[in-house]
Amino acid sequence: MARFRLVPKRSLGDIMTSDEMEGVLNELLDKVEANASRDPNKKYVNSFRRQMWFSPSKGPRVAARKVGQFGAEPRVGLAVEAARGTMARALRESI
Amino acid sequence: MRDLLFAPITGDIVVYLRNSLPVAGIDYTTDVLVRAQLPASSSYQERMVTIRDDGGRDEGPLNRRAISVNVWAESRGNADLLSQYLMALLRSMPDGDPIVATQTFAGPFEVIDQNTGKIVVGDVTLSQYFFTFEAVQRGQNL
Repeated sequence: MARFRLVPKRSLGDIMTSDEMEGVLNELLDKVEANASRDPNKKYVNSFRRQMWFSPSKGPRVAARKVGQFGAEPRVGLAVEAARGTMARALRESI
Repeated sequence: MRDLLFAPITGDIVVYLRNSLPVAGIDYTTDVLVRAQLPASSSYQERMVTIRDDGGRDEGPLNRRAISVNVWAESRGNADLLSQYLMALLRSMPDGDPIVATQTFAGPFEVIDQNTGKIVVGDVTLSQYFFTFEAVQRGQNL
């Protein structure tokens, strides 16, 4: 009788910290940025900032990963969000 | 294929808050105007709340909708307290018809951008607070 077992080809940690994962995150952030850029407040749109970093594993669990962050200057960002919900809508449209 | 209807829930939330706020009998929860949008400027009050639906995402028979709440009051303290009280009310809102859960509350934050038009009622400049949450809605069979 044949026996089967799953053979992991790559570890989860390897995938989460890979360049491919960074590409996936960048694609996602591109969509969010494109959707949020439709906001009429130019000061808000000009304050957009994107960051990507590597978060190392601390402890027994594999938690190392690439992290992407996208946002606007907090003060104007909050006012725009309160007025129109631009980022909430951009996230809903992008993911 | 299931034909599901996700009816607008903004009205349900507005009606729920209108009915629940006066029951508390707390000073800062009285005389609060709750609407989906701000009224004409001639009808502004010192305490106002608006509920806005920022869109949802389907998950089978459920729809997760992002809801934004703006709160204005005559002072920072009362705007903050009123926001916290509204969040408490909304946490206990779900009854399954059609909202089955309210979660992921964020805020309240004070809106302090100087470029945004401030609302003045009488000689009082209102303080504005803002918070968001996710309302999980059950679909209705068509």
